Amino acid sequence: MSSSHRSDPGANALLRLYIAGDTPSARRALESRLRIMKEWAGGIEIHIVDILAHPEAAESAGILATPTLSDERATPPRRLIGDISNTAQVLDYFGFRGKDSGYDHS
Amino acid sequence: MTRSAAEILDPSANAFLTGISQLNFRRLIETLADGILVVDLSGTVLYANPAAAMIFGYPAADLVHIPLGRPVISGETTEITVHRRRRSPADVEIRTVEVSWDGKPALLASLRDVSAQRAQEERRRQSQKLEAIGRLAAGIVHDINNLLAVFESGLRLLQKQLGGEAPNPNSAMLIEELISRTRNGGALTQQLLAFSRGQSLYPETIDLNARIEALSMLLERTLGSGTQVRCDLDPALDAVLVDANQLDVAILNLAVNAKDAMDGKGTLSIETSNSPADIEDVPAAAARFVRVTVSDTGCGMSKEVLSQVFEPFFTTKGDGRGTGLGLSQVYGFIKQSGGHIRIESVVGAGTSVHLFLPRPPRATNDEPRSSGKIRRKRMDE
Repeated sequence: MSSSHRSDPGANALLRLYIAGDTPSARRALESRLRIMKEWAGGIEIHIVDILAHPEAAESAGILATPTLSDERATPPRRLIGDISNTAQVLDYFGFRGKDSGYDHS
Repeated sequence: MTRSAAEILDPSANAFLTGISQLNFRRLIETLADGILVVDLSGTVLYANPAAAMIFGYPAADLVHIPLGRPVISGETTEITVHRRRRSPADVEIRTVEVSWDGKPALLASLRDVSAQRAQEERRRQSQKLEAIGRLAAGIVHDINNLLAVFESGLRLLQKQLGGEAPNPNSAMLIEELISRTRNGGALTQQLLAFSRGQSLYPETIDLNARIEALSMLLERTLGSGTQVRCDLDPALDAVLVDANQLDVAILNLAVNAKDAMDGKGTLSIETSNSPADIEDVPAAAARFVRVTVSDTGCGMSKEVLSQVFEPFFTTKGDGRGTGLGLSQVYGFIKQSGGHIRIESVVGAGTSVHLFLPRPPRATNDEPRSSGKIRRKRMDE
């Protein structure tokens, strides 16, 4: 089973990475963010939201745990919680992989 | 290899579960200390056991159907931070495996709240670090005091030699200014000495409530009209054995920090308790300590700031408003007095500083309880 695939993967996608302060898991998530953006060269933009600095942003988005990578254009928002260092799994979940590659959910 | 939950739930692999009814199995899950969440592939919660509900701070029924997000599957345990309303965030270990739930693929996340363990490790690291800084500070304070003494006596001698006949009137002013700066340096080394637990303390048996009542009147006048001072004092509070003047300084330092955190608007509360709850690493706290808590409704502090607040010269106050020595004094004084200090803070909600002050050696618990006034009189004697 796989997530839906984007019809135009070249279009710029905007994700949000919610973190809380400077914790080891936040640092790992920030490193992963750079790798994901590099892997999909220019196709994915990931904004960082530090919920300690912007608690209202987390509250309005309904973020209960960090790190969370979120695509808020989907309804309900598509979210991954936890360690996002497996870029293949992340890209696949947000629909950025070819059908025969990446992580298989089945 | 660890048996995954999917395998456990697979009827063909449940030989070891023989004899356990579905009801018993459910009871097991419901009474587990670890949180269990079942989430569908789109990240919506399908099931939460009571421990998971506790971790997230929601009733289990409210957690179901929440679009929490899909926990990442990895072969190992990772860590997330769970954010709760009106409670500090929790450090949670999470491990996710695939399962089948009502015939559909889903994910099972097991959660373990490791906040207390992490906090204990952090406290140990902190106290080791502060111990090292304290030793360093104590070492240099001695040498700096000697230098300052040489400067001051030299300047005094110069002042005497020049008398009223200084060739240039500015010379006398300059000497006076230098003497005053030398004294400032002396005050700074005293504060450092307070942090490094090297200051001279004069512990005496004091009535903490009376001391706080007297201080609160001073605080009401000095903190400004925007800050309310509220005292909640335990009428049965026993005496404590500490240096009274340093205790005043400590409470004033905490009040000043509270005022700055509230930006001049909010409530400063001072609370005392004769039977404080146990704190980590300190069992039977009530038998040995009474507690005074100074709380504010200010901006609060992040974990990162909290990890550094006791370090000398660490300050978040801009524009030269803080020396970074206030909390260092409080820390050094409490530790040197044989007490304990704990800080709780929630960003945006406020900070509480708990001071655990030692009771006098002779247990007052066995004595018949006397009224505050009589006790105060006895201590005056």
